[in-house]
Amino acid sequence: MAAPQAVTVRSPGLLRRLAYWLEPRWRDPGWLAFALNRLTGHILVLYLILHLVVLSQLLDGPSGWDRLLGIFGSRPFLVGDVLLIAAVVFHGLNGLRVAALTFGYGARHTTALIVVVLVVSTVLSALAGWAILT
Amino acid sequence: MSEQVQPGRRFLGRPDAVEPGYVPPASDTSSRAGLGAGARSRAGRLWLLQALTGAMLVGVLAVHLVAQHFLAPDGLRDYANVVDYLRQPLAAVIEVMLLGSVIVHVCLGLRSSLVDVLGEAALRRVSIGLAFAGIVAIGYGLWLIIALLTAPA
Repeated sequence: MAAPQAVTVRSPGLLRRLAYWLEPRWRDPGWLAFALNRLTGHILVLYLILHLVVLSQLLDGPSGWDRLLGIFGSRPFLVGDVLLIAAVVFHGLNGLRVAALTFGYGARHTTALIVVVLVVSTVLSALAGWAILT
Repeated sequence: MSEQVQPGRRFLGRPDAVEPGYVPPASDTSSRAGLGAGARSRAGRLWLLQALTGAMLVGVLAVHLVAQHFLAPDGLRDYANVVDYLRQPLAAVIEVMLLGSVIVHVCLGLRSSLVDVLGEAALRRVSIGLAFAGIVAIGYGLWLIIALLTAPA
């Protein structure tokens, strides 16, 4: 009997690799948590860059910084703050879950822990939203 | 694009249903296993660093958010308030810890994302680029903090 031959394939291209992140079929809750973790992570990176750039206005003294406070206190910015806090809370809580998983805790209750992370994130974000918008 | 022998299962940068920070075991036949033991142990150490900076961030970011927004009048500190806050030694230490941990955490997270998309061939370039960007960002943040600490009240 002939020995099985190794199949040679090309490495997947950039678009296919990107599409793989967003492919929802055949996935379990761990994928949802992973995809949300990456999405929120990338949103937070963009915010961090913006935040560092905006903080440079502090170097202009009170005239530079205090002028911006009026804009930051406007309704659209406050709504953005709430969404940002939701991203921070989910990313932080899910990160703690993943770190615990790495050290061997919670592997048997992955789905339950993801649900807990989502529920706690939603509750904390709602409370933050209430505090900020009211 | 280089050619490779197909592993025993589908592998597109990260196997299905594994968590962020996944490091394949030495017996893995996927592309990462070809990196050698040194690179695998480095990946493990970097993952541990990401977990540690993440855990640190939970604490220092919570302090930052509460101090800068929830305790500040109207949710935002004006210039004088920002400078007063930073001139408290504990606050300055926490802000520096926040700066360092967030930049390291971001660079390691972006490294994982970019290597997943660009492939292992880009690992070295991505690592060097992000290390440079991280050093610049930390330098910029420290310069900003020092400038505010030495600014006239």
